[in-house]
Amino acid sequence: MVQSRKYHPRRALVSLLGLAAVLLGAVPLGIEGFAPVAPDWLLMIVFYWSIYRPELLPAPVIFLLALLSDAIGGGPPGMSAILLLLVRLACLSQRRAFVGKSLLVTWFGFAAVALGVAVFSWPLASVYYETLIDPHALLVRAALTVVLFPLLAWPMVALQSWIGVDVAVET
Amino acid sequence: MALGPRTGGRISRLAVPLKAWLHRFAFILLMIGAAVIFAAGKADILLVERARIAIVDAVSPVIDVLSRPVAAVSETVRNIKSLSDLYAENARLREENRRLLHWQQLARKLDQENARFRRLLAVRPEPRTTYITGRVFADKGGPFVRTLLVNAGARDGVSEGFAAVTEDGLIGMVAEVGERVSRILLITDLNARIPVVIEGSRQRAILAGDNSPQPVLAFLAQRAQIAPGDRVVTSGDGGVLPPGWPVGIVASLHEGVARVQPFADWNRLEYVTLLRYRMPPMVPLPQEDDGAEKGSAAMKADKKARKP
Repeated sequence: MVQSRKYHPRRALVSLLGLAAVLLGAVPLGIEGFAPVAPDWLLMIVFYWSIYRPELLPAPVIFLLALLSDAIGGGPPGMSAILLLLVRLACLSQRRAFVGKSLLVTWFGFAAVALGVAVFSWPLASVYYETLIDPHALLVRAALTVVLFPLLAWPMVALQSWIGVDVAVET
Repeated sequence: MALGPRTGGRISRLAVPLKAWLHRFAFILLMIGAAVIFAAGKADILLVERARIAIVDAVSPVIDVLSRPVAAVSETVRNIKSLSDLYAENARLREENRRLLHWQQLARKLDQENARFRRLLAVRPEPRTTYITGRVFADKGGPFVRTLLVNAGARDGVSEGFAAVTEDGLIGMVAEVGERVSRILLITDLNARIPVVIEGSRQRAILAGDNSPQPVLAFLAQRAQIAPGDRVVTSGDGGVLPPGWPVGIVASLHEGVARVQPFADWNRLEYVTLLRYRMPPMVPLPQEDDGAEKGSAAMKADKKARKP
């Protein structure tokens, strides 16, 4: 008896959520000085799904969303892709520490990842622009991303339960 | 038929590790892909730049639609805020109007005088500047760049190097042009270099962005007479930007570093005007193809100039 997984259209919602985050994140809010420190919604999405349901946000989708984000932002191309794929790798190796724990534990884990991304992106950007980048905006952005994580995490918990587990169908 | 279950078992025994291996292989390929794109971007490969703006071109209608309700909300919020200080605003405008009427008279007089002098001296007329106005539909810059995306591109006649201004003054330059979008490098960006002149003393300098809200005046003469409050305008050197556009005022002088506070009101950057300005070269330049390349060449020259 071979079991195959039936593809459920709800599964595509996670990738669409990522796309929405990238596109909505580009919309100008008319707040001075906000764009450089705007929270990294895509990082939150990649982190959450890489821990709880990595198969719903596959690496190629992360790669494409990151490239789109870089193209819109105008920063170093490919940098988000490198960082977010590394985040996925780290999450996949550490997911046992988070699955089944409270969201608070996940939040602490996310804080470490967000700080790691900021710390790692600084030398990358400095090499790219051949100058020492002022890390101030980078750290404020990381802090804002961590603070606002629950705002997106709670709806994602609901989304995860709504998508439900895979339906196994006998063929 | 008898082989059925056994074959199935063998396939699944092989398929699971094969699938894991393929996943790992795909992941490594993606990592390499990302690194190659990063390196290609660093090497200033034209293909990367073109691909980047083409992607933005493709998704721009979606972001444009998304940005409209947000713009409407922030406009309403601004209106409600301004309602509260209507009385003070009115008084301020009355005062300003009185001052401006005085300036208008003076400007008319000076305009006539100027025209007379120009005729007397047979001054060659300035090249005509034409305008293209676009709506700012995205400002996702991130921590490393200060850019905006405007919904006017090559099909509207925009090309690289155009100055981007608002009613307050210069905000940046067109750095990338797509079919219907263009990317504006703001004067505060790390890579922005704008030739400017201090209005009173006519001291020339390069306004160099460093991602902070107040760009620095670089290459200022050692004994330059400047003070906080001096107006800074574009000098028009290099022939890319029109001269005389207001940029900002000298905000601070600290240990020989002068910083400029731009006039631009970053809170209400909804529409941006792109200036088409082409200065006829005094000496024909060899290997000059078109305006777009001239713009990017000027920016690259600026980029090189800042390296010691």
